[in-house]
Amino acid sequence: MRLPSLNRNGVISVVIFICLANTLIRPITSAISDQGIWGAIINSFGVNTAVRFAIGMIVINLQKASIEVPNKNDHLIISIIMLGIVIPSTTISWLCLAGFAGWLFKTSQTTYLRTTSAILLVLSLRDPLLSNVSNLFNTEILAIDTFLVSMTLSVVDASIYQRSNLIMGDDGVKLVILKGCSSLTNLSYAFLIWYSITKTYTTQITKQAWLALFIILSGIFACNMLRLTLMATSETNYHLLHNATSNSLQSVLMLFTVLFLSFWGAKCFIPRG
Amino acid sequence: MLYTKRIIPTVFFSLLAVLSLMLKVTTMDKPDFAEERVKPFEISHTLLQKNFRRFGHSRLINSPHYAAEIYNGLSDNPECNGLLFILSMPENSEAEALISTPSGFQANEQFYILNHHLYDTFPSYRFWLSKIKQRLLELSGLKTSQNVVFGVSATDQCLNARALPWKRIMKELYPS
Repeated sequence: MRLPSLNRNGVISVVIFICLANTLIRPITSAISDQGIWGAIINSFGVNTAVRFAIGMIVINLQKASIEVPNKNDHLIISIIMLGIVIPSTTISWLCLAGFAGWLFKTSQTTYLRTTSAILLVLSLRDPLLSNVSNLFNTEILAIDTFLVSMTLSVVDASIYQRSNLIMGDDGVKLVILKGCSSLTNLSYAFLIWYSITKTYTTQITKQAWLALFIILSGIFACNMLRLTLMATSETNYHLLHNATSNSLQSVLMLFTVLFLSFWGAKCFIPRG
Repeated sequence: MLYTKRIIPTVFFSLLAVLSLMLKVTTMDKPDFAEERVKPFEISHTLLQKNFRRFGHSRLINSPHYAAEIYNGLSDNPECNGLLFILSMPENSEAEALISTPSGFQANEQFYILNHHLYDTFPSYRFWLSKIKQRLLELSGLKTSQNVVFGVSATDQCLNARALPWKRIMKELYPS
């Protein structure tokens, strides 16, 4: 029997695949057990589109990367990463993947592999960073969202004011802004998509790409503020904007806008001679 | 040579990969945040002995999440004859403002309980550390207790809410 021989790129691909499987196995299993196999397929196995998109970009870059000479410490690092992911914690698996991405970034000899590691680093750090930051600074983050919504509302109704994460009116609480309503999660996903596209399709981040990022982030923030403001105006608006259909529609619109602007920022619409 | 250089590492890493995935799936049965948030409270016999009456459960927002347990101090209660609202906050401080005006009442006193210690404001940093510690203990296979912050608010007539034996009350209301 002849064993397939793997070069450095092959080994890297396998390690990335195993680490990603470890980080995504829980949402995938939950989606299948909650919604059944067909429901899970329709809902992309509970894995966010931005995450799937970033994985797609990683695959594209890995395919383009030319074969690299193995590093003498590859075995040691891979052994540590593989032992780390055995710990049954998704956060630790994300951190192992981030560690591996950092190692790849430091040791990769080609642009495509460096791009792969950069996208991988952003992808793997997003989840642990976001959950810890949003838990540690939850009061402050929600207060910013609430402040902006109450400011907007106070233009039309002077009785509106903010108290921590509550929008208050004459008749008591008008809207409670909870962690799920905050713009932070969507901003992080949008950044992930923008970074994946920009790193894949440009050699360096141009002014146009920065402008695209600025438009994307401010647009997402403004849309969320508008949605929350409208929700606070009446109960009909609240029910209209706070249901699954409205959320899906908003997500799809947001995704296409972010993709369009990211590709525009990376100058993908200009024909290359 | 082929045996040591290729087969052993391949088999070893394949076993680790399968083991890691199996461990992730088999340790998934932890109640999720939503379940934890709607977990009902037990009755506190200590509060009943201290001249309180269980008033019921009240949703602080229009969803099953964040329902506060309410106790009413009876008129002959020297420490508190107002309302006591107790709310479990298993994830973060997002219900901090809700518990300060529970169901339209203005609270004159508000405090938080984490691991039997009382805090004036939501102990975000300590709660974060406590969650990390709990997760590490769980991963080491050690049994841990529930890690939840409880928000307590008392209305005007309940002037001495902090003096109640909260350690005992919490054990009764929320046994781990």
